[in-house]
Amino acid sequence: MNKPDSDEMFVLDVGEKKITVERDQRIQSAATFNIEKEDHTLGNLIRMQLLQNPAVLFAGYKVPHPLKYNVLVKVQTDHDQPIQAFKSAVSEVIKQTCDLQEQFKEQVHAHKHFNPGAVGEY
Amino acid sequence: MTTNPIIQIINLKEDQIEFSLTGADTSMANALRRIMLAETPTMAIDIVEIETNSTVLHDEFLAHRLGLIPLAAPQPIVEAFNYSRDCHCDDMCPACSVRFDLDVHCDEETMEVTSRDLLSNNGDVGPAISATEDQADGRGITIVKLRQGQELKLTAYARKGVGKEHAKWQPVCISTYQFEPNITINFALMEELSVQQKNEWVESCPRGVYKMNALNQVNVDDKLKYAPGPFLLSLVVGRDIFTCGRGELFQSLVQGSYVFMSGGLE
Repeated sequence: MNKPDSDEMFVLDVGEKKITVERDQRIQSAATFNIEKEDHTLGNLIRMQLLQNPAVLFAGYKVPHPLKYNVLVKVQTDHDQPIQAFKSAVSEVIKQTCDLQEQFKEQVHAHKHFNPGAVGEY
Repeated sequence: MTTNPIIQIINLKEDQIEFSLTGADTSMANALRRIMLAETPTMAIDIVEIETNSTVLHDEFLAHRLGLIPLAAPQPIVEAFNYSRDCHCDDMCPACSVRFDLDVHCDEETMEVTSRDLLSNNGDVGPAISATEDQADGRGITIVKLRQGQELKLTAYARKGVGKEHAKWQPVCISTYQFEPNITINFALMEELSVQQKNEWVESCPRGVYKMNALNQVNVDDKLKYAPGPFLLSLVVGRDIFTCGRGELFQSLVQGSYVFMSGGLE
């Protein structure tokens, strides 16, 4: 009766949007992004990437409650375009992970070449 | 300002991998670790329909044990499966589940029901067999032990899932990373020691990081053994070297470089 669905940690509810933005009422160049059904895995990654951007004055993330599966990322930039900064951070992370995946696949193939039979399937 | 991360595989076995990641931030390394543990899909028994159970373990106990049995399936096969919630079928079908049948009756004094008794309807997915145990007389994982007259008849359905939902879907036993150590030995000070003192110093390291070479000089043998990960461990290393009286002889810097180790089935 009180038990939540076991997959509520990563499956969006009906009508729930994956990501929503709220511009800060008092500061022009700040915005808070709410990402549903995500946790520190993604939050920390995006936050660290945002900090690499010299135009970003502030970047922080939090998981408001451990029993609710969403992440808040707050960004403040020096140019009134926090959404732009967020988008480019996400693109950069995607680019890096795709690159890592390619490298990994190549390496596994190379290893298989040298030791056939020692490796499982990929 | 972005550096390109580089992956290099150090060691790749059937059930274990060790690789190094350089040029990436800790958040990337940690994200990879978390995803390897909790968000990589695998197959595991999820629904169990029990027809007969006269064993000493009750129904849900058996179902729990069955769920924890690791199922081996090649990654492309797992990816081809639908999640049950996304599948076009009503309940269960070959596109989203694998059916296992178990039908045992004990006729001798005792009998052990193992994962080898689970019969799969899909040739690609079956109970995993540890690499060390892959012989014809390998026993498999014990599910329950029967006495004469006891029997167990059930049908189990394995579905696709991720470790986040339940630990039975976790694909790896361990997924860890450590910072790649960069140890520099202060040779000027080291030269002030006698050969015997140098030997004592090398031996004082409990993890075998250092070695004496032919010219009676101390060198780093395997820096990966340094492993300053758990705080307690690094204290132990430090203390022994300090006991030897010469803590200033070495210095270990940790860079933005990580060595991953990930493995399962052991």
